[in-house]
Amino acid sequence: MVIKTHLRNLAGKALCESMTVKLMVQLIQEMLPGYDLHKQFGSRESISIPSANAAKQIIEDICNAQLFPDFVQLLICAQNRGFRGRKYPIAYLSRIIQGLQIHGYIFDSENSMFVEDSRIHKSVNWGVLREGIEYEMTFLRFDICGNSKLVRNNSRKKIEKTYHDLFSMVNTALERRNGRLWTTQGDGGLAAFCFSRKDLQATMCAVEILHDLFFYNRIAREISTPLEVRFAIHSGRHVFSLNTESLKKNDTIKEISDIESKFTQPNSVTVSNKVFVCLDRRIADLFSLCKERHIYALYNYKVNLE
Amino acid sequence: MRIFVFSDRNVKKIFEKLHSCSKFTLNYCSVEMTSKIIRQNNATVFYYFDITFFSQKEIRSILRVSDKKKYFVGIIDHKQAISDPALLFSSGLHDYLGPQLCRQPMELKRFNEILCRQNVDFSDQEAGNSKNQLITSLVKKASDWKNVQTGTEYLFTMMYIELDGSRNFGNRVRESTIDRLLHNFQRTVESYVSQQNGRLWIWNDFGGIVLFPYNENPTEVIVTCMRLMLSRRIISVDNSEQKLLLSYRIVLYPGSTVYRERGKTGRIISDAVNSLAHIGQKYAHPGNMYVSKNMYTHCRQSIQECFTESGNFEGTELYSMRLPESY
Repeated sequence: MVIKTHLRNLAGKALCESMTVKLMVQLIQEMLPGYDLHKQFGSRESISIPSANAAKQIIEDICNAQLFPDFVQLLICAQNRGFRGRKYPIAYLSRIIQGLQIHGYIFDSENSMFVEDSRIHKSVNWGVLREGIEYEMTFLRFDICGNSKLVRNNSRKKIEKTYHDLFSMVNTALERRNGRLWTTQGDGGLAAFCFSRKDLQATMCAVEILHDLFFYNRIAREISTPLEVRFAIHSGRHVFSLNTESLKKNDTIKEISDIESKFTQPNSVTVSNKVFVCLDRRIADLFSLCKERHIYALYNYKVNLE
Repeated sequence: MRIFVFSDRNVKKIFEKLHSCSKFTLNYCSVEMTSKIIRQNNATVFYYFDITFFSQKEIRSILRVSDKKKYFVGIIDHKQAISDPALLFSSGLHDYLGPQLCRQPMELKRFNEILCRQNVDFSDQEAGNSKNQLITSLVKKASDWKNVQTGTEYLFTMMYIELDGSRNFGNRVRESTIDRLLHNFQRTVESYVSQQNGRLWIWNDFGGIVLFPYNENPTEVIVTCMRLMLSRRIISVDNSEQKLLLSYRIVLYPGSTVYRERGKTGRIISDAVNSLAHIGQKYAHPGNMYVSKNMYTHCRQSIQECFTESGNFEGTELYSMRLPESY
């Protein structure tokens, strides 16, 4: 991401007016350990660097390292919670945050971090997850039941249309709930949720798709039998990687596959206890405890008209 | 349906049975208002003229344009001033109340039969639904918003929606919170109905009326409303931080009304709007959705399966949505 000059200048001015050069260096070292201002500036250590020059150099290095949103996050933290035991009022901070919004980042106050504004761009890491870092995440796995039978009994054109319709329902719901589709197989996929109220957002996303499917089967399906999909939601820690192969080794992913394939009825949503306890009561009340036993207690929702 | 009676004497007794039926709106007008009212009215209405105050020539000229303007004409003749009523029937007259009939209130059944004679099946038992068919056949269908003009009567699919228990909200949450909640609820309804080209038309704090362009097959509109019903917990979470679980009732009903822009609907007189509001306020149970028989029979069978017969209210047969077990 290229940070526009006026925002860089504003950030430099903010550093300059809010702290000493020593503090600036301490802040950037939080993000770039071992950072050497003199080396970057090209001067000897015995020569002091003027505050304005130091700020300009630091901002430039932050931008080159693609860490500008993270640095602003650190400034917000220094002002609100303090840095090394002391709070620092940062000048122009609200204008810098506004400037980042124009660049497509919104501040998620619940997690105190900048995340990608999905209306502007959408990347699998929300623009903020870093390779190799572990995060607490919620996953939604979905799978079409009896895929081979469907393929055998319907024309290729109808199957392609049906799967396209399903994926468009999934994508629309994910977009609304700030989820990201990480992997897709022919007959299903895995979506991830990372930020505010991620368990609730993942569950509402699955319930919305299930409702869409309820109507799709009644008025829009072209295949001979109803389209049946299983949805499972589970949460756990995950080391982020752009390489989707790493997902296969993750315990949470293994567990969610198990929940989806062995403990979920067609056209229903199953959530693990870890997710269930984090749900808003109004959504949790839709679910009933499953009789089947798994390492986690499981809860299920299905649209059964009385 | 609106009935205008032009007479400068009291003839209310003749129409008292029609007046008591919610399906008809009676307007008693002075004779001097005749040309003004007929000129301004583009809706499908029934005009009764007291022949004591009109010449036969005037009546004939009214009958001449009745086909073009799609209104019905009846004559009130206390003193048998017209010697040959049959001649007027051949010119397009729809009803004639001679001295005998003027002495007693007109039977509802008789009036329904007159309407029925206009090639519409209009039995007394199914007055509400058949009248819809009558309206369907005579009123312009608002099939597209582009062609809808203010001041003209159209046939719409109308939706009534209202939050349940609205009177108790004040006891549970602060006023500013209610304002925010109601604003969000209105926005949510708007976003759902707009998918089917529906527009909020009348909105009073806790609910209102939405107009959809009329379509012979109402499946998509019914599905939109069913979606609103199924999503009530999601809508509650998205709209209320106060942990309120919203409940609302919905009625879908096809009917005609003179269209006026939102905010300028204060003087709308429409029996369809009245009936819809009556069903919504007096019949609908909290947290339920209803469709009229007319809509039920025209929607897909797969959607019909989601409804069950609910009963009859003021002549309108209704079907209620089968709600999910977890709702």
